[in-house]
Amino acid sequence: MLQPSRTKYRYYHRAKARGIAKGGTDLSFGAYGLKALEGGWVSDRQIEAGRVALIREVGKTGKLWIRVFPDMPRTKKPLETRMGKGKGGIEGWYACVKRGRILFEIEGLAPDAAAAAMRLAASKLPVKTRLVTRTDQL
Amino acid sequence: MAAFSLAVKSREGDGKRGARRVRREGFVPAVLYGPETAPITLSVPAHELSLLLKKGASYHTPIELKIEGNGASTKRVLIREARYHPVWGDLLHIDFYLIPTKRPLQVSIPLKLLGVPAGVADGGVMQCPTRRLLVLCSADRIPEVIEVDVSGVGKGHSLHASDVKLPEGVRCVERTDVTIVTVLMPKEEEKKPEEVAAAAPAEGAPAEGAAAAPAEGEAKAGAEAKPAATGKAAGKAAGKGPEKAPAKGAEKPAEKAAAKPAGKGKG
Repeated sequence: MLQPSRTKYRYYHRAKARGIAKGGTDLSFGAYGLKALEGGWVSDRQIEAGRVALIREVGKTGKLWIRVFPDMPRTKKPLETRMGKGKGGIEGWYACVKRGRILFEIEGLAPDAAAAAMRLAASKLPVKTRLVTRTDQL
Repeated sequence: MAAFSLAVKSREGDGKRGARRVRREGFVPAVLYGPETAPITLSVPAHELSLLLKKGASYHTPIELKIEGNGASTKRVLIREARYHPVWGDLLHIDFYLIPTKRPLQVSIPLKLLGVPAGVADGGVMQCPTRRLLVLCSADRIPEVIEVDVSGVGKGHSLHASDVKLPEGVRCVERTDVTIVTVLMPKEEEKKPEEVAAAAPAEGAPAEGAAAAPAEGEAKAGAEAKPAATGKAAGKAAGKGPEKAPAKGAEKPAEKAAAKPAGKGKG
């Protein structure tokens, strides 16, 4: 699963997923993309599940791009632990996704197959999404 | 090339307030600029503009712009930039560029690939990282499309901007090493996690000691298994019960547990 190879600090302030994405809102590589319609935190496991769902459809002939990276740590205190005694350990890595962000891009599939593949990937994600195509824009 | 025309109105208000008012009335705010004119703010009917774009108007298609209102006139323009809403994809703003009469202009022309690369027949995968080419030409010589014959591209080979034959009077302004088409070798299938897990201890066991081998083997198996295995090992080393140890630790749970043996215990 994706995670940073090293970080400058162990813990970071929680980023806010509200608002509209400033960048990464257009297709840059593929012909089809999955765009987030609401903000949220997407975990490394969810990204991986989406990737696996897509790569099974894309196969050898197509190409897949992941446009988000889980670089924010999420912490959790162990079970049955009293409060205090410092911050909990890192539980997983998350990408903070704002509305409008492209999450995945694919190429090399027919339109129907691409839509079906993106539907599978979208079902693995915690945010509402929609399919965008290169022909949507100039 | 099909002739496109569009009736637009000159716009009074500028800034976000004026632009929002124009959008509420069903128009798209626009601006016309170029080397031979001062910038003019316009409002374009959104429905007519969307129909025009559906018909095929793009960055390289000249449009007859009939400006109504103050300083009514007809101008020949190109679309230079279109801004879309990041979430909903509505057209927010459009830039028109007045085609200069006395000097050449830069236009982005779509590429049309002809034929099937030879490498694809051999099992390669074609990739086209560039879909438009920026060229310099005069206003009366704007090509509708640039045709690129890709049938000679073999597996592991690429076609660059320098290889594209351009029409007379058209010059490429992109770098000559920009890749137009490349034929890649197909990717090998990914190994399943269980296959990797089965292979890893077999590699590690003879070389490493009996105690260290399973932990390292699991660490190779994947990021998911790594924190749990090392976390439990660290918990046992620090003399804690396995349920007290952090199951999914930080980047280096073993070091952390060793550094703070009493810190993570029940307070």
